[in-house]
Amino acid sequence: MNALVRLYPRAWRARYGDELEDLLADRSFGMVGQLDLIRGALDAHRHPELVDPSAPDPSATAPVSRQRFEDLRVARRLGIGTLVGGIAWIVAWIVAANGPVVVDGHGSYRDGAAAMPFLFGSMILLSAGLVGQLIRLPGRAFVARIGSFAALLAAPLWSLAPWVPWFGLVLLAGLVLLAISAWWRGAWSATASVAMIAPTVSGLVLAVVPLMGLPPVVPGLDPMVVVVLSFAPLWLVVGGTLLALPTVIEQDPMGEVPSGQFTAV
Amino acid sequence: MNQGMTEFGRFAEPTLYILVSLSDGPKHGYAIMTDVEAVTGAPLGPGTLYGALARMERRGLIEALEPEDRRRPYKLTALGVTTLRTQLEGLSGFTRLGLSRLGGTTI
Repeated sequence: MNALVRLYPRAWRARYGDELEDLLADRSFGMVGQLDLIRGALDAHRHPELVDPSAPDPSATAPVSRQRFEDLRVARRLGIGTLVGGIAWIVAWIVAANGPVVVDGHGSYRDGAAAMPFLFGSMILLSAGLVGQLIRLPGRAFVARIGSFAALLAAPLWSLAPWVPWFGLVLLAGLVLLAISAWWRGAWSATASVAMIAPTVSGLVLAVVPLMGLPPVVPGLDPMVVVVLSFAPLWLVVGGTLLALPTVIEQDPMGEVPSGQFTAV
Repeated sequence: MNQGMTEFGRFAEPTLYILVSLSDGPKHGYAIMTDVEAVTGAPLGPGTLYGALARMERRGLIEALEPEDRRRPYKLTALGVTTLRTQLEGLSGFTRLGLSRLGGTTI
């Protein structure tokens, strides 16, 4: 069996494997064709419903139970809180950048203590959104739930001790794990996942490089500004992905959700 | 113009090519691939081809026939014919509109 065909899920191979093998035997495909096969295998893993009618369609807006709907409403409220947390995050850094200049034996620096409540609040609200993600994510998104859990613990710890990088790294790693797995399981769109991962990774690199004594990637750019701007989308994505609610409740005599209680998916 | 195909995402264009390819009779994967390449000038990757075929089969646009050796031919369903006709009429209208607006414009 062609090694790349093995990348496809078993159920998929059972249905299309022979045909695909036959096709590959008839014609040689270059590097582009090989990459296309890998991309096809990823797609097949993301969409098991294509060959397994019993698998849930991740893109479907299936009716939900009344209880599930109420849970999703709670998650939505947490998501709205997270969006507010994004504002608190930006405010925290503005306050820190404008703190009083202190001169002591170590030299002069800005005292950012006044920003701590905003920083703590922003992280608590980010954690609230991650609790919302735990509520909203389907059971099959197990890795995404682990990422959410790790991040929701690390976020407030980091705000209490922002000079300890490990909490921040666990937070960011958890969020990246959440973004990748939620996309993989169809719970997040590719756009949402990229919006989470791209600024996180690039912001981390841009901020860490000067701290390691290396010349900055973008000369003259304040690492603090990089951190603030690149991490702000985290609140937006975590909160934003909680806002949409299903439009139909199953086994509900009224059928559709009363207007005002949902946002179209 | 492309209404009804948006759910296919990146497979929308290959789906249309495959529908056209099957419009003159059943074909198996390899035959579809060479036919599409002859018509469009660009090869259809094997992953894309079978990603599109799986979606089309699930949506009821095509139907798999009994395999011949390891090759399984596909044919259009009634829904597939209707969908193809709708798409081509939309494209035809779009083409007419574009040509009429272009008129005798010269550069």
